[in-house]
Amino acid sequence: MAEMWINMGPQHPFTHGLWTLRVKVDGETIVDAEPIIGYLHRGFEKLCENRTYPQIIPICDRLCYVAAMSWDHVYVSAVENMLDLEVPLRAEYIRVIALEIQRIASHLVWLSSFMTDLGNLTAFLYAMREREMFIDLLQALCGARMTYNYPRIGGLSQDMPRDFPQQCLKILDLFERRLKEYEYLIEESEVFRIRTQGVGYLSPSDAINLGVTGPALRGSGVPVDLRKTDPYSAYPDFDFEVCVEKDCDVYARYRVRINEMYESCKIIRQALKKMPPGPVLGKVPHHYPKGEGYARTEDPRGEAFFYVQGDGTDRPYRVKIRSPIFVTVSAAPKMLKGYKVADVPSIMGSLDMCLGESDR
Amino acid sequence: MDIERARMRAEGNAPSAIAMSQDTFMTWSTEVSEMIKKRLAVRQIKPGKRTGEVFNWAARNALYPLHLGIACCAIEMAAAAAPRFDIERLGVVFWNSPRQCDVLLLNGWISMKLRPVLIRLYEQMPYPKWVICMGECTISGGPWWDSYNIVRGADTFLPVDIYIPGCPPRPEALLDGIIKLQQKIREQKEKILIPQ
Amino acid sequence: MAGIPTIVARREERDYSTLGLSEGRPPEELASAIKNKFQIDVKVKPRRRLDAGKIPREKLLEFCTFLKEELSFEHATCVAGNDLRRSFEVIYHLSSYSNRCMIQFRVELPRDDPSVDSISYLWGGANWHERETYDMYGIIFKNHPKLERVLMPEGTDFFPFRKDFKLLDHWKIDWEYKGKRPPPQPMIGEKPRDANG
Repeated sequence: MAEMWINMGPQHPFTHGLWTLRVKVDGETIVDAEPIIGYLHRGFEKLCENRTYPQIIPICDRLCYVAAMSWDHVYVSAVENMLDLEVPLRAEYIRVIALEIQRIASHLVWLSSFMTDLGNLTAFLYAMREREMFIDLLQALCGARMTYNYPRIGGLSQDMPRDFPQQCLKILDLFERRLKEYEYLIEESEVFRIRTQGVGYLSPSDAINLGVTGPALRGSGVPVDLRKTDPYSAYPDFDFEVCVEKDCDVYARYRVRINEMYESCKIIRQALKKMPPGPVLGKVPHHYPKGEGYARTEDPRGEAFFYVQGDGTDRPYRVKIRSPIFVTVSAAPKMLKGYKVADVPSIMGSLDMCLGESDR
Repeated sequence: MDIERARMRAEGNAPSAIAMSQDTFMTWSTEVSEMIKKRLAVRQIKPGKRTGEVFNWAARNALYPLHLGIACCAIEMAAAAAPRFDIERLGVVFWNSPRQCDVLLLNGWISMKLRPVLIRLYEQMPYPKWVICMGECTISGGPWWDSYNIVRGADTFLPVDIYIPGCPPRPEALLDGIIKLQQKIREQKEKILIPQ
Repeated sequence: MAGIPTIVARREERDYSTLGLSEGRPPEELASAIKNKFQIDVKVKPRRRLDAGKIPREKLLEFCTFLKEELSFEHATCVAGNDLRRSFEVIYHLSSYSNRCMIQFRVELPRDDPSVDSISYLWGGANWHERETYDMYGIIFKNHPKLERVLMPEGTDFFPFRKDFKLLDHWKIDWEYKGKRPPPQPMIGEKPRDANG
């Protein structure tokens, strides 16, 4: 059989971002693959050297626009580590609530685009409808639907509204009931099970070696969750489980994300119950001394890491961003070899790519 | 009486939609299909007459944008297709193939690697076609104005019809932009036909 | 090390069900192990972070192999380049799931010979990070399987993140006209679009 390279070019019917996947096929079977990224590169790290520390927070949202709050949080944590700042406890709790709401919203966007690729357009509509509820909650907190600009260096920009806990609990009750229905809708379909079970195998040792983190790693049986392995912010105060599946295929990664949505609901309830009173903004720095700091968090897609080096002026000298999707996409060829061309949407969809953070 | 009124409307400047009675419509449409069968239609139909209005009405109520999502504004575009904002009631359906699309909806910053891709996509689209710039990045470069890899504004290399400001614009702003495009097409009614 | 190093042999699948949840060795013990073998002063910071300072570039592969095999640093978090104005620098961050800690170290490179050994044979996760460092700074990684540009378009001949590339100088870059001043960009279909062509 003749082998040939096929370009699944930048404009494709998959709903995840702008990239090219070149697959080498032998008939219908994939022999090799090469992802090409860079269509969204804007030199983010170089642009940061031209902006002051607080001015970088609004543009950090646009790194991964689907999970904007978590990227704001990583940057602000890195600068706080560099300056050894104390963040008030109430601010930490509200940050955790915002992060978990953002995690649910991000997983809902993943669910809607994954299902669209597999042909289940009903789930697309349902997931986007649920996401609107959570986006409304975040809009009550910070005023914007998608690019929040909410954390500040030393705390948060404003406190939460007075009726936020009641609204939040009402929405969580509604959401948990509905998510059970959607699981039933999706998983009872035999077509879905054939397309996702046994497809896209990634062994645990490969996953660790290739630097894969996040739900793709936990779907291969490795229970590494940075909220438990390397706790940050107020996470040690909460009680939740790490969602792990042993199967190493696309279905396992799907189940990990669905379970994570339930765990996030648990965390939000605990945080609302235990919320301490107090200020939300600590001491604001006026002078940024020479030094360096780094911070890593569990983004909905994996391990997000920010390294900031300052040289005494009000602008950073070097900012380095480690994006989880940059590394996961480089591991994609391993998951594609041996499967058919028709499996490409389900395998690449299970990785949940958001190319804004990968290309920076 | 109906036919007289219709003929007056045809020779004058009928400002609004066609309101023919059933008989007039049947006569008219038989005439048009005869002309098309004899391949006389395109050259003989003068713009400004009723056929211009029909094609104009059809084109503006069924705008198919290309299913191209570049960056943050694409998520708001997807939210516009979701049940809460529902762009499909305006006739807008996102379509995968550029050969069958009307509108190139640019959402997100345009990098130098992407620029030739967009030119190729635009050239693949058949006439009549329009370009909508959604979000600050396509209007003028946006927050990345000083980057080395960004095109500062899509109108440096594509002819743009509608600009929708915002970072990102709310889905309601996108719906407003589509409605403005529909009004723009309506005002251009003579020019909707396919060029030779 | 001369020649291309052999790929580390794959181990059989062990039980990963407690990785990242058990306590592991304390960071002070890891710091003293490194000090005994390499005589490098490792600072222990709060929240289980280690800082190993500067490593000479000849010792890099030996140091990284020791970290991976003996101290079980299984995960390469980041490989970053940096341009100190008189030299280049590569900053490595590695993390260990079994011992739940993270180590940072740097390698300094002279400006006229910015090359260093690649660690992508030990950790595949560092592969694309090293490509990106090459793309942005021009730092060559020896024995890298495929050292090409990953983010910038092919055929770019400058390295954007170097400090002598000033951001607003890019107005002068000729993307398509190689040295000549580009003509004013022609619009597609320059005449106003009309039904009759």
